[in-house]
Parts: sequence; C-alpha cells; structure tokens
Amino acid sequence: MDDIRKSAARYRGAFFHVIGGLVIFLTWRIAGMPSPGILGRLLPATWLMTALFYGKGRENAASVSGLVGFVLLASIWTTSPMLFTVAAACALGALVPSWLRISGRRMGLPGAVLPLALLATILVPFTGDEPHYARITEELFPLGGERYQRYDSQAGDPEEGVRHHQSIFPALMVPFYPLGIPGLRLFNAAAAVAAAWLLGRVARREKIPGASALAFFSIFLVPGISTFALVYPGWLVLLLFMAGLSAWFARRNTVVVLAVAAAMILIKVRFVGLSFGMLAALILEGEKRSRWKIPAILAVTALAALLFDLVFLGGRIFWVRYGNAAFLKTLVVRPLYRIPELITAAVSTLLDTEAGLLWKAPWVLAAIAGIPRLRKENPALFRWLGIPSISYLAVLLYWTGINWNGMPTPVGRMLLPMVPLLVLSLGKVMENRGTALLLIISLAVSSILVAEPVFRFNFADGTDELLLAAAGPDSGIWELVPSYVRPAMLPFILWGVSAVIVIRLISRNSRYATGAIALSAALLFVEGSAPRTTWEAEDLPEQYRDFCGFHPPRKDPEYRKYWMFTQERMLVMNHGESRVRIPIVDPEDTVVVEITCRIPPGEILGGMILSDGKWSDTLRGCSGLPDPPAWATSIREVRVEAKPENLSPLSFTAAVPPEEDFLTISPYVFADGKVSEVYLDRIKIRR
Amino acid sequence: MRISKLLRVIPGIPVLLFLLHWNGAGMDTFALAFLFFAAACYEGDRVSGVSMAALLVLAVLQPSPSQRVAVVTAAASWNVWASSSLLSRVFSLAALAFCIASGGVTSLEFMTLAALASLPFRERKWRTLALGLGMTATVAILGLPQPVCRSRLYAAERMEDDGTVWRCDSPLTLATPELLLDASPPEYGKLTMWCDAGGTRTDAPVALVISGRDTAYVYPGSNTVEISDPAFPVFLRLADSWKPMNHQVVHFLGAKVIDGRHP
Repeated sequence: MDDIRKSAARYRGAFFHVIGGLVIFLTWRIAGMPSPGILGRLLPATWLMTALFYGKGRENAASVSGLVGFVLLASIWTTSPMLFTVAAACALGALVPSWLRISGRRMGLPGAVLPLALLATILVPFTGDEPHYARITEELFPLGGERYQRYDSQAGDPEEGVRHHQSIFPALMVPFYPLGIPGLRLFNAAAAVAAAWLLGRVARREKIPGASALAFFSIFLVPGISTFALVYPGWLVLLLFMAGLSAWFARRNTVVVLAVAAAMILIKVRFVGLSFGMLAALILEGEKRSRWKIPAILAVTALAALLFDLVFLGGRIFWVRYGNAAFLKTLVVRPLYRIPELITAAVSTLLDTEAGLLWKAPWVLAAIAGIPRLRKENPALFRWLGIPSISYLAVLLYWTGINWNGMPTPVGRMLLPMVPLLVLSLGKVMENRGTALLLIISLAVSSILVAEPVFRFNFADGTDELLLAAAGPDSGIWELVPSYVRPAMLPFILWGVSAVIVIRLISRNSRYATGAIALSAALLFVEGSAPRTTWEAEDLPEQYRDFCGFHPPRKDPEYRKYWMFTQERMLVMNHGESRVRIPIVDPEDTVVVEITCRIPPGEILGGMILSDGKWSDTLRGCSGLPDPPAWATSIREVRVEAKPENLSPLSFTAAVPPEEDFLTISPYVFADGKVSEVYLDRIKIRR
Repeated sequence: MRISKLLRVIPGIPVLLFLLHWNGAGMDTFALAFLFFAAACYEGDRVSGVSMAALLVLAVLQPSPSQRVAVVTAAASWNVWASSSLLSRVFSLAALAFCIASGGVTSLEFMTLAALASLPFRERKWRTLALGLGMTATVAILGLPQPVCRSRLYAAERMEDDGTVWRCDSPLTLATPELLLDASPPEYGKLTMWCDAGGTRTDAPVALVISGRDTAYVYPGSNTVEISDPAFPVFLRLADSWKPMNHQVVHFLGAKVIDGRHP
C-alpha cells in the first residue's frame, strides 16, 4: 500500500493531467459546448498525451489555475460568443508549464510539442498555399493522384504551366503523400521540431539561459506557431539555417554554410535575403586570407546557375518570374518613389494590427530589448543571426512591397526567419522585469490561435479577426490600433512610442517596465470600451447595412493587389433598397457627420441621402480621376481607368440635428428611377 | 486591514469615472468597477494575477451589459478562488452582488452564495471546495448561467438577378442562438432556407424558423425549409435552451427569395 502511495505521490503530476483531461472532457459535455467531437476530444487528448510525457514530479500551480479557469469559463460560455474560445484556450494554456517542463529534459522537445502537432494537423484549415504545394507533391509522386487536382494553378503564377512555387520543397514531401494531409503536415512538424532543437543546442553552447524553454518558445509563440505543422517551407528553411549555423559553430564548416545558403534559395527565392546574410556573415567571420574567395566563387556559381536556368530549364526557376523588364524597373523605382510606403511597411512588421508582431507576439518587444546584449556578449552569434535576419527583412520589404505580410495566409508567416535572432535575444533578458508579463500575454494569444486557428487568418482589410471577436465591430478600439492598409499617423505614433518605451525599460531592467506594459494595455482596452465614432464603411456589421455590397466582393487581398491609390475595401450602395444605419452615441446633441466616399462621374451628379427621423439632407457630387502615380508611369505606360478604386475620394460634412439613435444613409435616386452608385469609405461622427 | 491595501484602489477610480461616462451608471458598470478594485488588491501567484487581468480586459471589451456581467461573474469567482487577499475577495463578492442586481445573467445565486461561503478561508483548497459545490449546485438546480439578452446573428442580404439571397458564416449555438433575416426584399415570393443541424440526442427539432405567424422546424441533418409567403424579419432560432450532453448547432447555409416578378 505504501508503495502505491509513494508511486502515486511520485507521479502526481501525471495523474493530475489524466484527471484534468477527464474534467475537460466531462465539463465540455455537461456544458454543451460546440465541437464536442473534435475540440471536445482533442483537448482532453492533449492533456492525456502530456500526462504520458510528464514523468515524475508534482503538477505546476499555473496548470491548476488554468484548469479552474476553464471550468469557470465553460460554465458561462453561453453568455458571450467569444467565451467558448477563451475557455478552450484556457484549457490549452494550462498545459504550457507542463510542456516547458517536458522540453527541459534531454530530447524532451518532441514530446512537448507532439500535442500541438496533433492539434495543428487536425484543426487548421488546409488553405492558402498548402493545397498548391500538395498538388506539386502529388504530381511528383510516382503513382500520381487527383486529390488536389483543382489546385493546378494559382493567382501569381508567372505563366500557364509554370507555377508560382518551386518544386524542391514539394519533392521532399513525396514520401509522405500517401498519408494525405496529416502526412504532409507531420513532415513539416518534424522539420520545425528539428529546427527548434538545433536552436536550443546553439543557445546551450553559447550559454544563453533557458535554452530548452527558448526552443519551445520558438515553436509555441507567434510567428513560430502560425505555420507549425503546416505545409509551408518556412520551418524547413529555418532548419537549414540552424543546421548551417550549427555546422559553423561546431567545425567552422564553410561548405555546409554555402550548401545551406544555396538550398534556401532553391526551396524558395524569397529566402534569398537570408542566404545573402549568411554569406555576408561567412565573409566577415571567415579567415582573412580566403575572405574574398567566397564572393568570387559565389558570383561565378550564381551566374552559372542563372545560365543553367535560362538554357536548360527554360528559365523556370528565376527568369520566368523575375527576368522581365517590368520587374527590374519595379525594383529600381520602389526606393526612388515609394520610400514612405517602405517605411510604413517596415514599421508595420511590428505595429500593424493584422500582421504586425506586437499584437500577437508582444514578447518581441523583450526580444528587441535583448538584441544589444546578444551583440555585446555573443558577437559572433549576433553576426550569424543578425545579418541574415536584417537582410531577409530588407529584401522582403523591398522585393514584395505591399505583400510583405503574406495575408491571407497565417499571421507572421513571412517573419518566421526572424525567430532565431528574436528568441535567442529573448534569452538574454528572460529575467528582466516586464519580460514575464509579455511572455504570459504572448502565450495566452498563442493558446487562442491553437484552439481556434481561424484567428490566424487576416485579409489585409484593416480588421484583425481575433480583436474583432474579442471587442466586436462597435468598439472604440478600432480608432486606436495601427493598420497598414488604413495608415493613420496617430495610432502608429502612439504605439511606436509605447513600444520604444517598453523596450527601453526592459533593456534597463527598470522596475517600471511591468507597470508601463500594464498601463499601455489598460489604456487601450478601457478606451476600447468606448463606442466607436469613426466607422470604416466596410467594417459595418450586417445589422447596420441592408442590400449593400463590397468592392471588391471578396476579402482576399489578391483582388486589391494592383490597386494604385488605396488598399481598402469599400461598401457599395447601388440599389434602391441599399441602406446604411450608423449608431449615434449621444442623440441628445447635434452631431457633425463626415462621410468619405467615391461616386463615379456621370451625366447627372450622383449622391446620397442622409436622414435622421424627421430630418434629411441630400449630398451630391462626383469623384474625379487622378493622374497615375509617378512610380507607376516610370515602370510602364499607365492609363487610369474609371474604376472605383481609382476615383479620388470625396468628402461631405453635414450637421445632423438631435433626433434618433441612428443616422440612415441611402443612395440618391435619379428622376428616371436609376440609383446613384456610392462607394462608402469612412463615416465619422463628432459633436 | 492595512490602509496601504485600500490605497491600491485609487488607480481604479479614474477608470470607474471613465466607464461611467461611456457606459452610463448601470449595475454592470459598478460590477466592473468593483472588479477593478478587486484586481488592484489582488495578492497571489503571478499567473493567476495575469489571468485575472486578462478576464478584466475581456470584461471591459464585452459589447453588451449582459455579456459584460457574465465575464465579470467569471472573473470575480476566479478572484475569490485565486486571491489570498481578503480585501480583494470582498471586492469580488461586491462585484458578484452587482452582477445579480443587474439581472443580466440568470442562475448566479448559488455561485454567489458559494463565493460568500468561501470568503473567510485562507487556504485555497477550502475555497476550491466551496466554489466547486456552489457551481455544481448552480448547474444541477438552476442550469447553466444564461444571459437575459441573447446574442443574435444577422444574415447579410444581397440582391441577385432573380431575387434576394442571404448568407451568414457563423453557426447558431447556445452562445448565439438566433439568426435574423431582417431586411425585407422589395418584391418577393417563396423563401427557401437551407441549413444543417445537429448536436442533439433525439429526433426533435433543433431549431425553428419563425416568419410572422408561420413556424417551420429544422430537424437534425440537412434541411430545406420553405415558407411560401414570408413576413420579414424572419427568425431562425434554436428550439431548446441548455441541456446537459446536448450541443445544439445549426449551420445556416443560405436562404433565397425568388423575386415575385419572375416565374
């Protein structure tokens, strides 16, 4: 009996996880929460899998808190649409301390992330580039197949029969094709685990504290978790990068580094910045005698590769995509004419509410605070991480322009190569004040993104899906968050300054760091409780609009990719029944309404009718057609067509007397019964 | 009780004033304010503290008073369980009392009584026991706490060549038990609605389609509901409220009204 009691005490943590899994399973069923067959089983399964790997020892107090939190939230989940997701995330987040403990053991990392791989494989929709990579794999599979046949082509393919994606990454997945989507995803999960394991090994060798936790964080935190176990080449490239780095630090192996740099480009040309950065680090770190041999060898090799592509492959790798005059002109023109856009994009990699890292991964602030220490204490490592990361980011912004964010694919996907630099820098400030709070917030967000993967997908329309679910469309929070597609100076400055302050406080280990983070978050959310007074028209929820359409009709940013003057979607009123109702916060006072819209020119001036109870006003006008932007004409001859996105915006202001709770906007109806087309952009209500 | 602990509530006062300004002096606002005070006086482990702050943020962001009351209830119960500060727990209890007074959420009585009973215990295990019993009693006797004003989904309507179509991507669950087709099309004939339903353990209807005086039923499985002369707004509503082991769900696949002018 004593033996049983002793072993029960020894394996108390494992038992706790088994009990926890049962509690979650039963609570889910009793509470009648949605998705009982999938999430309601997968979450208890993750607890049981964690119990398997937990080993000896007590449970973590935070896991107990998480379990209690889940039960509490499950008991009130019907009261708010978001609570179900928060409850599920709570059950998942409660396992993080256990996973950290497991990953701390020798070869513990695979056991720690196995439950995550299971969740990602089953829960994340198979969308974006995933089916297209799968289709190429299918074509390369010796026995062929037709599962993904309808993904033969994709927007962005350079020409018919030549795919946008390169074939090496899909070729590596051929052995896993017979296992279907789980097989392809498990291959990528294995690549991620291997990359994270190498990252932990580098951290250990460089004596960076918390190496195993850092390895786990590289997978679990955004941007790592965004594409973990998904069919994207990012983690495979990161594995190669870490392998090259390890080879250099272990044996100063130049050949492996050169091979890795070449392989990364062959997998995806987008990673050319990472390759260049590695080579630059190699030149800086290499022996002085042979330092200049490397660029010479590289130049010859690159030239040979380009010639090989041109002569033998018909330019399928490089020339068909980038070997045209328009592309080269784009590269030249971009820095000359579009510097403000490039700067906005650079800042947005951190601040943009949809794709910036600050909102999904605030831990990067602590990581940035740790970079100077990494540079000072591990200069060689910093060169090997910093130069490739910066080079990758620069090429990404310069090359891809407005597509730097990779939307609508999972948030942070394009910033994955920054992970080694950021995670190892995080290790330098792990004990500093403020870091823990940022980490806890980031872990909570990651838990939500794992439990409800649809929140990973944004559409470059200025609305973050997670924030929308948490705050709703009526919240004043939308006026305060920076957006790349709706650039407004105030939010960018506000959050830019806040970020700089937090980074500075953490790097100095200031006692005010935690307070500053808490204050920034509190101010945002308290202001977020205020009602919205500026409406981007496309954000208006269904109950505020009748018979209105969108331009373009679909959310995918692909349809706005070539717009020259704006990237925002518009709300279209073009029917006699079209109506928009804007809530007026304080109907006791006269309010001023500012409407920004586009009205196509016609024989008679178009317009709209504003009404508020007994009062109404007609606003009429038409948009002009602006000259094409200088950057566009310098690339090729451009004729600006009279499409809505090309029309210059019109601004109307009207004073609305106090009447009703809602202001109604409807399109103007001409004498012949036709209806004016109005493309609404923004409606601002002020006193 | 030390004065310094009481002084911690001072940062909550401007927050309270701000909330009162924006949201009016409803009971939910007072509940939220007391939750702020409870958070300000919180003592305990860091993870629980951050979780409390996260619940607070979620409560602030809730769009309607009843939803806010629900999250405040969860956060206050959480704090009664997690905080080792008596003052913090007292503030939480006050928040719970305001939640009940607001009437925004049903079935909170046992939970509040349990929170009251657990108040004096210094050791967390006794508080766990009391709250666990309270929650079990709540669910067993009164059912799952429910908001008085339910969240509602709205289908987006679009005019097509031969009529009007509606779409809504979100499913109906107990958290959003009603879908509304609110805009009345200009000319209309028969309304056809397609939906998949399930999650129940009987063959009884999962949801109802209500159009004026007409009612049609949505059964487990795939459904095509037709209403010949619809009166708008049309409601699609879950038939039953919460029952243990039932996970009612309706996926609205679309609806269409063929224009009456077309044959």
